[in-house]
This record gives sequence, C-alpha cells and structure tokens, in this order.
Amino acid sequence: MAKKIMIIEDEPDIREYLLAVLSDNGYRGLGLSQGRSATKAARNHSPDLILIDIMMPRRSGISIFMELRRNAELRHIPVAFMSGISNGADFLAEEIGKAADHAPLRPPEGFIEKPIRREGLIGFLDKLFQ
Amino acid sequence: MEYPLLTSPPKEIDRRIKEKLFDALPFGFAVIDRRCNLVHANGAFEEMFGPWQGAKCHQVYKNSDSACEGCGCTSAFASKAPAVSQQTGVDRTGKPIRYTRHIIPIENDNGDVTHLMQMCTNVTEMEQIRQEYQLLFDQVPCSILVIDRNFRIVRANAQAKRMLGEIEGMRCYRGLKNADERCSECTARKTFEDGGMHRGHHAWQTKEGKSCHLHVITVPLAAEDGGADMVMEMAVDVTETLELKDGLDFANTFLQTVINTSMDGILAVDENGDATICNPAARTLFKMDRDCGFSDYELAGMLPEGCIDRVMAGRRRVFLPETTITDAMGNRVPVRLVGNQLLMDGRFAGMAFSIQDLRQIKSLQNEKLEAERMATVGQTVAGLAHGVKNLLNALEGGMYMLNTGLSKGKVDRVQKGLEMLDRNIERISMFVKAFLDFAKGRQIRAGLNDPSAIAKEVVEMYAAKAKSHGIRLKTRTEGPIPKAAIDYESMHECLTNLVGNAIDACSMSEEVAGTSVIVRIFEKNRVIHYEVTDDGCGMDYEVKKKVFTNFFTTKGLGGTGLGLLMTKKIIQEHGGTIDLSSEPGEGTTFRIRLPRSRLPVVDTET
Repeated sequence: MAKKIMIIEDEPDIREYLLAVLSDNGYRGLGLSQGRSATKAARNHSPDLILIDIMMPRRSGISIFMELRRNAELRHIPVAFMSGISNGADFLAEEIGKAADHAPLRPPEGFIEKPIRREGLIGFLDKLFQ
Repeated sequence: MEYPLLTSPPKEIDRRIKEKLFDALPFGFAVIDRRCNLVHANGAFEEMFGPWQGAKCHQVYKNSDSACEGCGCTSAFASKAPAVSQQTGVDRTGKPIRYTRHIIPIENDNGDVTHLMQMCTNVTEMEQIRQEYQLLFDQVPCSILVIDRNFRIVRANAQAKRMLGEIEGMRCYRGLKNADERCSECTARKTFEDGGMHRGHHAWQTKEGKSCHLHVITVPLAAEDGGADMVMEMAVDVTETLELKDGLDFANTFLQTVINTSMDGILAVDENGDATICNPAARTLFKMDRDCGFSDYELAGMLPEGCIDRVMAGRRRVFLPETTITDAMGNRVPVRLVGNQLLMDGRFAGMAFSIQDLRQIKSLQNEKLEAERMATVGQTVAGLAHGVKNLLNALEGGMYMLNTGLSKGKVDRVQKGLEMLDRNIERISMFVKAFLDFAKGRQIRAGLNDPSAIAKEVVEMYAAKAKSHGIRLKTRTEGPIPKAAIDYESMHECLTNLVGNAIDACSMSEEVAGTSVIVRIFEKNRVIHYEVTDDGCGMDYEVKKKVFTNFFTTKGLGGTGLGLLMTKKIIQEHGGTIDLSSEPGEGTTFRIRLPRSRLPVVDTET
C-alpha cells in the first residue's frame, strides 16, 4: 500500500512539482494550498506524513503544526517542514520552543531545505518509512 | 594837648559806674519787692520784656494777671537763697521767649529779705538751635554714637537705639557687638590716637540678635587742647547692599563657571559688535587663539550667512537646528545654533550665540545608520536567499516536469514544465529588480504636498484591480489637512504597498466579493494619520510579528518580501511610525503616524 503524503504549500508550481515527484516514486500525494483546512483534511485522509511549508500567507506552517500536535486524534501523524529560510532547522526549533513554552510538544519528524530535489525528497521519505 | 586831670572824688565815680553798669549789663536786670512789684529794671530788661513801670513781675514776664504757680520768687523770699531756673515767657512783641533766670535775695541790715534781684538771659535762639541739632542727630538715616576715651557710649541717636536698644553708658564693644573685649580693629581708637577721621567696616549685633554690617566713620569731637575728647561714630547699615553684592558675586561666579565649562560654544558681542564673551568651547570650535578677539565683521564670516541679520531683525531667538559655521582655518563645521538679542530695559545691548558642535553626533548618527544598513543588508541577504531558494525550487520543478514529460512521452507534462520555467524565470527577474531598487535606496526629498492627494491617487490607481475582484476600495478624508513636508514619490510607494497588500489580503479571503479596503486620512494634534484597513484574510501571530522585521513574504513567489520593509524605512525617514493590528479571518489595519514636528525639512531644490 502506497504511503499517503499531504503537502501544504501555497506556491502552486512547487506544490505541483512535489506531487508529481511523489506519484512518480510510488507515493500518494495530497496537496493543500493553505493551512486553514489542514486538520479537517488530516482527519479525513489520515496521511502517513504531513509536509508543511513554513512561510505561508494567512497562517504560518508553525501554527498548523501546533494545532496538529495539540489535537489528540492527529498528534501521532508525523510532520516535516520544508523551507528556504537559512538555518531552517534551528529557526524551527526556536520558534516552536517559543510558541510551545508552557506545554512542550514532540518535535517535528524532519526538515527539508528548499530547493527540494527529487532525490532529497524520496531519500527522506524512504528513510522515514523504512 | 593835655587832658585835665580827673578830679572827681572816688564816691562820685563809684555812683556813676553803678549807674552805667546797671544799664550796660548784657542781660535783663530787675528788682522786685515782696509784693512782686517791679521797682527797678535796666535797659536790657526793657529790651526783652517791654515797659515794666508799675507792673507786677508776672504781668511783665508772662503777660499773666495771676501770680505764677509755684512762684520761684515767693520761695526765694522765704528761703533767702539764690535760685536759677529755665523759664518761658512772652517778650515785648508778644512772642514766646525762653530765658534763664537767676534770683538773688537782697537783705536789709536786719537780715530780712526785702527785695529780689532778677537776672534774665535770653536763650530762645540757643534752645532753638539745640532742638534742631537734636532732631538732626536723631533723624539722620544712620546711627550716631558719641564715645569717650574709655570707650563708653555717652550718647546714641534714635536710629542707633532703635537698632541696638538702650546702649548709652555701655562700653561700645559690649553695646554694639555684645563682646567682652575691645575690638582688634577699632576705628574710634584710631581717631583718639591721631585726631583724624577714620573709616572701617564692622559687624554689629542688633537687639534682636541679628548680625548686620556697617560702614563706620569716626570723627574727633575736639577737646580744648586740640586733641580728641570724644569721638563721634557714624554708621551706615550696608547689610542689604552687601547681600546684594554677595548675590551678584554668586550669580557672576555661577555664570562664569557655566560659560567656561559649557560643552557648547558661547559667544557674545556688545551693542558695538565688540566681543564680550568667547568661552573655551567656542575657541576650540572656531580654532581661535586664547587671547584672540574678533570684530563684528569677522563674526559675520564665522557664523552662518545671514545669521546676524536674522538675530538683529527679530525679537525672538533664532534657532538653526542644523547649520554650519566657519572656523579660523576656513573649515565648515556642522553645528546647531541659537542666537539671541540681548536687551537691557528694552534697549539693544548686544547679541549672544550658543553653538553646539554636531560633528560627534553626526559621526554617531552615521555609524548608527551604517549599523542599521548592515543589519538590513543581513536581513535582506537572508530573505534574498529564501526567495531565491523558492524560485530555484520552482525552476527545479519546471525542469523535473520537462525531463520526466520527455522521458515518459507525456506532452502535457512537457508543456507544464516549460510554463513553470518561463513563469519563474520572469519572477526571478522581477525579484532581482525589486531587490536592487531596495538596496539602492533613495534620498528623501520632501516638498510641500497635500497628504490626502497622495492617498487619492493611489486609490485611483488600484480602482480597476479592486473592481475586477469585486473589492470595494475607498478613500475617506476627515477634515482639512494642510500641506506637509512629504516626499511625494516615497509616500506614494508606501501607500501603494499597503493598499496592494490589502487588496491581496482580500483576494485571499474565502469570499472575495464584498470585501473592502478603506484608506482613511486625518490629522489630530498636529499628527497626520494614514490608516489602511481591509476585512480580508488577516494575519496570525507568526505572520504579524515578522511583517516588518524579516525579509518576509506571504505571497509565495508573487512577493519579494521587501514592500513593507521599504514602507517602514520611508515612514521612519519621515520621522513617523507604522504599526498594524490584524486578526486572522477578520482583517488588517496598518496605521501610519507622521508628527508634523518631525517631518523632514522641505528640500528647496524640489
């Protein structure tokens, strides 16, 4: 059974590219352009991984992550971030640490730096689902 | 010629002498009997009191019909003893007269007093003079003391007594200073020693115990031998004068200290333009030698052009927040300058200038600007990297679609890949252009502009776009807003960014149609406000806190992340502030505040 990956990325070109890479490599991709409907989609589709862009309009990736992690039904779903910001992993740790001051949360399962190449994404996923 | 020998017998001569003497006496002489009848009087008496024949003594002396109360004559008849008294009476013209009267009883052979001799000396004038002197003595506006050789106060005038109390009879050091011993510097002693006049300065203690300062002059009151028997000491209270002088001395010292140690250069000239003050800071600022003065002509060359004329022309101070002076070497130095006219009772008495050296401040400002610029460069580079990576990702995607489309023989994927490449190459060029514009920056050039006209123009520019999305876009100007020193193009750019963002936020809303963007402009307390409000998608906390601080875009590859950073920079350059309030799903308001007092100076070349 192919693993189901939910991509939340506001930029259509990148979203389309990532979905193509996933389907070409034996994964099932599900694309969302923004985070507002993320929890609803996660509940409906039960993805095996949610891959979120950090900087998006309206709602940042970090805010989506917090909501997922705080939701008892959804907190088991692995979440990975993708971003072009420099020192993305450190930035992420710091931001999540600040936002979750009072209730420490399980850290995200991974960080993929943009630009994302086919090999990078597939390598990350294969390793995660080994 | 020979004179006949005196042949009259001695008795005859005696009689004649007595007759002559009686009339020649220089005081009034009269004889009364026991009934107070005047029986005899000389010419001087008649001169004083008028006709006396057949009158009683009280009628003549006092112009009174009844005998005097406590009549001195009656008691002299009884006691047979001579008496002297001071009397007042009436002279022959009816005027009051003061006289000294001696009474000498005349006894007969039986030893009975049958008559009294009365000798009267007119002292009216003397008494008058004495009274005048007493008045003068007491009323002069200084303390007068008469001191004897034992330093005992013999007399003190009313002023001295008011000040020191009853001091007559006391030693002067006790009465004046409440001291037990003579003063080391005794002005009275000097006068006793050399008979000359001396001056001195003494502190006395008043009867209330207060200390007061006196300027003292001692003069000798001559004794018969020509030396000083007594000393008259005249003292003028100079306490208030001394206090005033002390106050003046303090004010002067304070002023000198402030001027000499001031970090600012201080220059002053008198009404003729001659230098009166040039403090060390001014000498350093103008690179002048220590003792070098300056003429009004030179001063005009040192100060900013027209500065002296402006000070001369106006009654108010002239304040030049940023100007330049010229030092002795001809170098121009950036300064802040305040010029004032000096007025004495409304009369022009010169000018004063206070000059603050701005070189250090300028250098610090430049360093700060440079540091800010470097920080901005850092942010910019980080943001640039972010944007570039996203663009690369989109290019990577385009290439992937193209390659896999070719290898799989999928034409639509090839087509998609080419489109993606095309679109993102275009975005890269837009991104680079925006970045270069930002990096280059632009000098603010403020002109007098109508703040609401800028807003209206931006709104008109976006009208078509808003309409096509079904977004309501409006300007709302509240009240008249006078023209202000604003860089038209820069403010236009700010509002373009904000209105553009607001329209984008509305377009990202779930229901675009019916959303609105309002640009409100008003002035309150000399602060110009612009408010751009939309009821679009709004922002969450993470987005809100980054809008100005990071090279940040929420528009994916459609934005550069530079717009709001640029906007903030422009507002800051106008001395203003910008902030925002936003709720996800509710909308966003950006507020620009431009205090008129902090707006840039109008660039005269614009």
